[in-house]
Amino acid sequence: MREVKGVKAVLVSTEDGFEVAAQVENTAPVSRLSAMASSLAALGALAGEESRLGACDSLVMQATDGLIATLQIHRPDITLILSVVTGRDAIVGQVLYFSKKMAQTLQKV
Amino acid sequence: MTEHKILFSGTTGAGKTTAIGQVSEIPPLSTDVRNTDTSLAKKMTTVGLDYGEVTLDNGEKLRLYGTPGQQRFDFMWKILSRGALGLVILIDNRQPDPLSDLDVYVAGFKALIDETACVVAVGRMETHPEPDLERFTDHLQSRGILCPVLAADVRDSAQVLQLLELLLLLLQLEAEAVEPGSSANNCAIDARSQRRQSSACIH
Repeated sequence: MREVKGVKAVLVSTEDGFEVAAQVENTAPVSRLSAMASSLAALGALAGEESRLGACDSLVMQATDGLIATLQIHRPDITLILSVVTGRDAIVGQVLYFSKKMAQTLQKV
Repeated sequence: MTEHKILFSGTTGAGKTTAIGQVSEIPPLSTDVRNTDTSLAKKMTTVGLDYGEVTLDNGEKLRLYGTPGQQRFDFMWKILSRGALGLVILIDNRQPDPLSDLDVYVAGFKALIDETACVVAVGRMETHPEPDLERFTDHLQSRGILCPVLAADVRDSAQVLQLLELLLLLLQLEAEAVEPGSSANNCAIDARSQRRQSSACIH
């Protein structure tokens, strides 16, 4: 969070929506975000399959006041979901670059 | 041809994904992932939605949506309720307190139940007969809800179709009560469907 401008929350959850770890700036409802990340990741993956675009491992949603990036982390033991919530001042490319780097790290740990 | 959106919800493991898969004419869409909740004895669980389509004998096409069962996904309940014409609640009678389970969905879908119609289907009654159907009905009545409760095995496609036909019949009766004489060709249901801003009412 310190390395990337505008990041407000970083969340790791199981693919069925349970919180594993979280670092949030305020009192964001982490358990609710975990469940939402799970649904979003599953719906994104389904949309990717139905559109014949192959596996959809990341999803970026841009809202008026920021963005949410959701990335799937496929580990041999479990699939996790990394969610990054940012404010308006975040740079999309930078958020994606660091999020993917973090996902790769979590894949190997 | 008329199309309607019908929602399946209910206890985790009650068979929402199975029910839709049993009757769908298209390969059902599913967002099942590996379950990590050790309190649930199942390998996979729905985290987004299920989707299937079925055409009834009278030509009506139903778009079937299934919700996740867990309450932590109740945001999906609200999203999927939009434009729905009716609700099927599946209850698993093997659970410790099926009546409390029913309360969760009755509360979570209150607006949809108030505006449309609902059918409650209780599964696994052959091995877990209590609470019986009468207790379910009384329980709903005590909460001011009148809707049919029946035993159903959603692994049997005929029983799933019966649930859907019953739901449509209820909707037609309700519509007739509101708009007498206008149900000859399901116009009343269509009108209700349009009022709920269903995007899929095609003639």
